[in-house]
Amino acid sequence: MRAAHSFAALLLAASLGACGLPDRTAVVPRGPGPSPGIGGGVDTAPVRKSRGATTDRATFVDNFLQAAAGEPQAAADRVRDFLSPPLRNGFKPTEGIAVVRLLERPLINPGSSEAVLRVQQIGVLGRTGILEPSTPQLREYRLVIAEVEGQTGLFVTTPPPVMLMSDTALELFYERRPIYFWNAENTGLVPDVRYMPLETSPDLQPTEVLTWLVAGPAPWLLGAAQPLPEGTDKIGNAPVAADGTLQINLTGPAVPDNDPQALDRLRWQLQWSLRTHLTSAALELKIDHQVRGTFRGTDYLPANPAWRPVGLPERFCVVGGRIRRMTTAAGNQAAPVPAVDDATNRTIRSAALATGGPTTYAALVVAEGRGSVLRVGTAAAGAAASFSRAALPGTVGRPVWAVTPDAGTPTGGAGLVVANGRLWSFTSNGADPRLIDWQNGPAGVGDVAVAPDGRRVAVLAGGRLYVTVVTPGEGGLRLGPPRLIGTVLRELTAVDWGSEQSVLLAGVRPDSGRVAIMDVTIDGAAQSDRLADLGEPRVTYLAAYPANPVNSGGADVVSYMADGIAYDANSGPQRLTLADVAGPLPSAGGAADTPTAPFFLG
Amino acid sequence: MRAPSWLPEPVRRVLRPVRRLWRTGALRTRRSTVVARRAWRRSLQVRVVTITLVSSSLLVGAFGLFVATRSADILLSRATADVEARLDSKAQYATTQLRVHRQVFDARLPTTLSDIVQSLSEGDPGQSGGAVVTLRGEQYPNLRPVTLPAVDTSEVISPELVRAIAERGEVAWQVRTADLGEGRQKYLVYGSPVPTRFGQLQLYYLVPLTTEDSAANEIRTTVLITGLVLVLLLGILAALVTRLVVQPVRVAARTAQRLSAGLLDQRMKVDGEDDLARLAASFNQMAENLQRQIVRLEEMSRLQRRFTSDVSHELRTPLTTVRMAADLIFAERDDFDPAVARSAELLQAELDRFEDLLTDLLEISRFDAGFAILDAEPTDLVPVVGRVVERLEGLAERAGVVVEQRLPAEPVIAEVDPRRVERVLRNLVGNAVEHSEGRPVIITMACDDAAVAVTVRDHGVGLKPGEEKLVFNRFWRADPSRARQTGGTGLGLSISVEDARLHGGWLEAWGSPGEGAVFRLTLPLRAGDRLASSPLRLEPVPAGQTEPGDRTEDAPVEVAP
Repeated sequence: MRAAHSFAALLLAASLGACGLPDRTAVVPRGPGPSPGIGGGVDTAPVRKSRGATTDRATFVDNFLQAAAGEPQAAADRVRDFLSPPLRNGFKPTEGIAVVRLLERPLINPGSSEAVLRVQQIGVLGRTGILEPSTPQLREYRLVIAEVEGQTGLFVTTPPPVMLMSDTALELFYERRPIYFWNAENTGLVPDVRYMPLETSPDLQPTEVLTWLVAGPAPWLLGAAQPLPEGTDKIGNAPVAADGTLQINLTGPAVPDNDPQALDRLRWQLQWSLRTHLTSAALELKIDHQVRGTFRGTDYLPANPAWRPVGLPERFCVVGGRIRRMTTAAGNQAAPVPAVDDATNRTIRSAALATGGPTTYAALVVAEGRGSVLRVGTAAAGAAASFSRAALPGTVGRPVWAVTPDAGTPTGGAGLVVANGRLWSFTSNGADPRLIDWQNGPAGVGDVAVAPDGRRVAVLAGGRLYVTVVTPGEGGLRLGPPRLIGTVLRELTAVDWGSEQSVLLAGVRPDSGRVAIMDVTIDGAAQSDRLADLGEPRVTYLAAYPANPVNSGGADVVSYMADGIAYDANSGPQRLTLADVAGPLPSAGGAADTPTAPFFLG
Repeated sequence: MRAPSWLPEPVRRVLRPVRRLWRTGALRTRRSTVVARRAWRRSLQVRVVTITLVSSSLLVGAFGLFVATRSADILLSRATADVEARLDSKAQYATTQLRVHRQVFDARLPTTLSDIVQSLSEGDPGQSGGAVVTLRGEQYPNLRPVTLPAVDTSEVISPELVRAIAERGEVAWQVRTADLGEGRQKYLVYGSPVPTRFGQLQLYYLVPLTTEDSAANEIRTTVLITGLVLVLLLGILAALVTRLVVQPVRVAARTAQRLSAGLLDQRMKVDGEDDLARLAASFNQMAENLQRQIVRLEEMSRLQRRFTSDVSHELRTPLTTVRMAADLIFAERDDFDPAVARSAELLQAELDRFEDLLTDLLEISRFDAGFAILDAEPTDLVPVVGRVVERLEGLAERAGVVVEQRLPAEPVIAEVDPRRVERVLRNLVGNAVEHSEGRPVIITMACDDAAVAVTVRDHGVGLKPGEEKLVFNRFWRADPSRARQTGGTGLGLSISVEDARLHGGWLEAWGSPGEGAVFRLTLPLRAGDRLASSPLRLEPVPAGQTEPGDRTEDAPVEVAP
């Protein structure tokens, strides 16, 4: 019986120990892990020159001005590599990379180790790819470039207090990449130009763009462009999954529940901002890990007002005081001028036509006596408008249509016009034009141009270029604080937008004193000739049809006037003649009746 | 248990206390279980209940073990399947997220890792239960592992698991127990490789098995308690059922005991018509028959004794007359023919024997009738023996036998009936002289605090084995062919036994062929005391050993009446 008892006790103990979950088990294999999937694209980033690449001091300076280019996290380290070893630890540059344009080759006296850099400061490139223009001022940096004992190659022994990068390095190592934010009224996307290091692998670029989007628009766009809804953040990276979709995961606030349009707006914004990555991939949008849709196709394109479905614009010009349609490769050449009937179409000096939905907005500067009056009207498609009439003082420039907060309605249009060296705003509701109270604005406004998105304006004042935003205010428009952009040209006389990212400027070359037209990015970083030499006469009028943002490159069609004669700026100046005017020529044709003030239906 | 002798003395000395301890322990265990063992031996119910308890414990234990083990297995496999599904999506997510990185030294990689872990933790329902997600690259020492919540997982993620995942590229799991800040818990550690463009990372998902563990424990406890209750109930059931059967059997046993003790009117209760009822009925019938038989036998025995007594009495009166006439004839025998004179002598002798026989028969019938009364008085037994020897001196001389007396020097006072004791001794010594065949007869007396004993030893033919009990039967003779005249009436030893019994004493015999016989009378010193032992040995002491003081511990030989 005792044996039985002890056996029972043993059994009980065994069962207590054996039952329940085990304290530890052996490793149980469950099959292979996930597959890595297909690989991505290849890196095409150009290679930076390292410190030891040259012993020529001038080339060394060039290389030094490239060092900061690339991934921003390691920029300071790359610059440090150029410094002499004792300086490296002490080098604590200010945030951002100063982008400079060398005004001349570095001045290096033979036998001297000092290099003098005379530069124009373009701006400071921040971590989010924003190039914030700095007041264009000429500066000198003095670098001491010397050899260090026991080490090969040259070193910078007295570094500048900032990280410097040349504009050529910016062009070489970065890609200009507009990202998009919705305007305040959610009617269209406003581009925000950023700089993407080419060093960042294409796989990582969508993530980087997403980071930028989450961080919000550049400070100067605030007011015109709105950030993503408050509290929006990205979750994880934005990888291209094995099935070829670009996966984007955002937090819940990105799509507010009370806004049915929010999802579409968000994905249009993303599709525009990541357009280059979505040419072959579909966008899979997740909100809080929940897939809200997989988007492919081109239905997002209309969200950007700069995008136009037709390739070539409708062109008009003024011949003998009348607006005439110009011949183009495409378009309805026999159609009448929209909104403006024959009764109104007299003594016109310049005009601006814009369409918003079914409505056509027309603004005409009409000569009346010795002065000019501004006539503004709206009309439905095919109908003639009734025009308001308001006198403006002094010389009146060409009108431009700007924002249309409630585009498509008769009262939805608003525009800008320069009169007597000041900016006036007008609206399509018949109210009198108002003088714009531009806080801290420069005097002597010469020309104004509104970007295709209708929110950014380029203003010439005192012969210099200012870029700012325009926002609808009570009874007219308001301008944001002016941002002076440094340009190569001086005494700027005419401006218009050539693309989302750049304006066309007419001005005087500082070296030769000759007039030229240049393509200038709106931060002034890249400036290239459109027409390098137009001789002495100043350009008084510049009109361009901005490039479609889905195509790279500048404006397709640029026209200008100099000495009262209108030209097309193709590979060279090409004078506009009556042959370019569509339809029957007026009977009283004369030498004076040449096409002037060419413009495009915006 | 003694230590082997080839061991050296010191070892044995050391082993000695151990042995003592072992012995004490064994003894103590034996003593402590003596009650249980007795219960096991004596109670059918205890046996049945114990066997039921043990066998049901085994059965229930095995069943419970099976149930508990099986449920633990199921719980674990369900947890595993759940975690596997979750880990699968997690690994996929991590793989996709890591596709943007081409190099392990990518400056954004650590951010991505922590983002992944953060995201995996947040979107996980198990996170609230203390699950831990960790992402690491074993082959990239510079890549800091990211763990959320930040705990030390080295105890949980075993090297063999790391090998399975990092080297063989398998998804694998393991259960480990560790303290990750919430007390010691069991963790299901699930790991999956995460392929990237630059190599392979590992994602581990550590899920505490708290719920499963407590569920398994609850099941275990439930099974245990249920099992114990079941075993207990079975035990009780077995006890009740056995009691149902055993109780009547016990009653039957008790009744039979009483019956055997002489209470012939004891009967069992007959209840119902089942087997036990039949047993009771049969038992009762048996008892009835037995009682009837016994009563009949008693009656017959009583009639027989009465008859003997009556016959003895009735014979006495004519015998007296015949005796008187015979005495007259015997006195006048010289006047008769020698042949007639011889007949008168014969008549006289046979009449003496007849009278003795009649006296003995009357005595016996007095005993049988229960009329014998002990007339006890303090008596010195030494002179009694002397008297007996003196009376039998003539007989002894005729037989040529020396009667040796070994008596104590001081008086031996006992509360006895001297007449009866003298009769017993006379009977014994007479028999001894008669059967000693010329060899000496030894009479020994000894006493202690409670008893006095007298042995009578002869060296005659002795007794055959078994005869030492038969000698006390009435009219028994060792050799039936022997002539009646040489012996007494054949009732002497029977009467002696009755006398001894009347005193509360013993009369026993011992004998061996060729070695003679010993008869021992043991009497209590105080009338009414119970005898425990005799001051003298019954068997003769072999030559060379001293006789007195060596007490016998033997139980008395019961002599049939």
